[in-house]
Amino acid sequence: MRKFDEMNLIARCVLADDRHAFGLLVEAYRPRVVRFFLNLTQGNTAWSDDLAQETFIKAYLNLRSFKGVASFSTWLYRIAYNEFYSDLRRHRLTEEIDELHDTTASDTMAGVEAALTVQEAMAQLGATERMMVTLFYLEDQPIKKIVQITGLPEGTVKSHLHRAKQKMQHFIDN
Amino acid sequence: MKRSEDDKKLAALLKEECAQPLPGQNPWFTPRVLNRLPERSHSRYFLAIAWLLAVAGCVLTWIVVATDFTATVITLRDLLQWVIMAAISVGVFLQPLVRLMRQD
Repeated sequence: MRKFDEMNLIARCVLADDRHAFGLLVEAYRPRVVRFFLNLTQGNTAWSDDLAQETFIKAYLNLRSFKGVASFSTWLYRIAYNEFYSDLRRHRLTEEIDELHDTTASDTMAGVEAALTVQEAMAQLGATERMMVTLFYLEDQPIKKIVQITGLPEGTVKSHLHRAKQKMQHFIDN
Repeated sequence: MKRSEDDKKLAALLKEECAQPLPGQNPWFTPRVLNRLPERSHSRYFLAIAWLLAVAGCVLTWIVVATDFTATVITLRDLLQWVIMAAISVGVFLQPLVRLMRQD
């Protein structure tokens, strides 16, 4: 979507409460937001859909606070990032992490070894490290944008990434 | 931070082995999101109409005052009247802007 069209849709939502315009924004960004959550939840479709829905609802409710300083996608990623952590904190932390480990364990039986090693290495990471790896390596976001999305200092982002790389390397080597 | 060769290799490996594909079409997703949005507030329409009426009132008053003014001498009373009208007009015109700023 062109930036002009995007701004036009946002303006229609803010000024005229235009739900159709917001629907077009949702359509445009749904694949990226859902995939972002799929990467974080390691393919949990239902959970990712729920998180994506919450993200868009929060985006709509806070659209007036979007100043256009960062791009709309960065702003949306920031909401998605907060939503993921809120949800983890709220009620799903234990059960979903257990599920992630279960999934990888059952996949091991299937014998897709190479892919599994990497997936298991990802599963070893903490939530923040997995978030950084997802944003940097899978979503191809530059460090500057990750800083905007997470609100963490640049040094912290880099050290999370460095630690995540080391953990994954260590896991794969062993 | 520039991406090193290692970073590029790791990105390629991660994308190949554990990146999730872009989700396919989901015709229910957007309607579900739109259904969960809060009800539209109708008060904004009434406020908009009231504001338009106030603006029209201001404009009309200024026209009436300008056409009726025939005196050759401007009295203190005239000045006071214009200052009050100007203040009211500016207030009416700026009201939506103030409301927007407050909501931010």
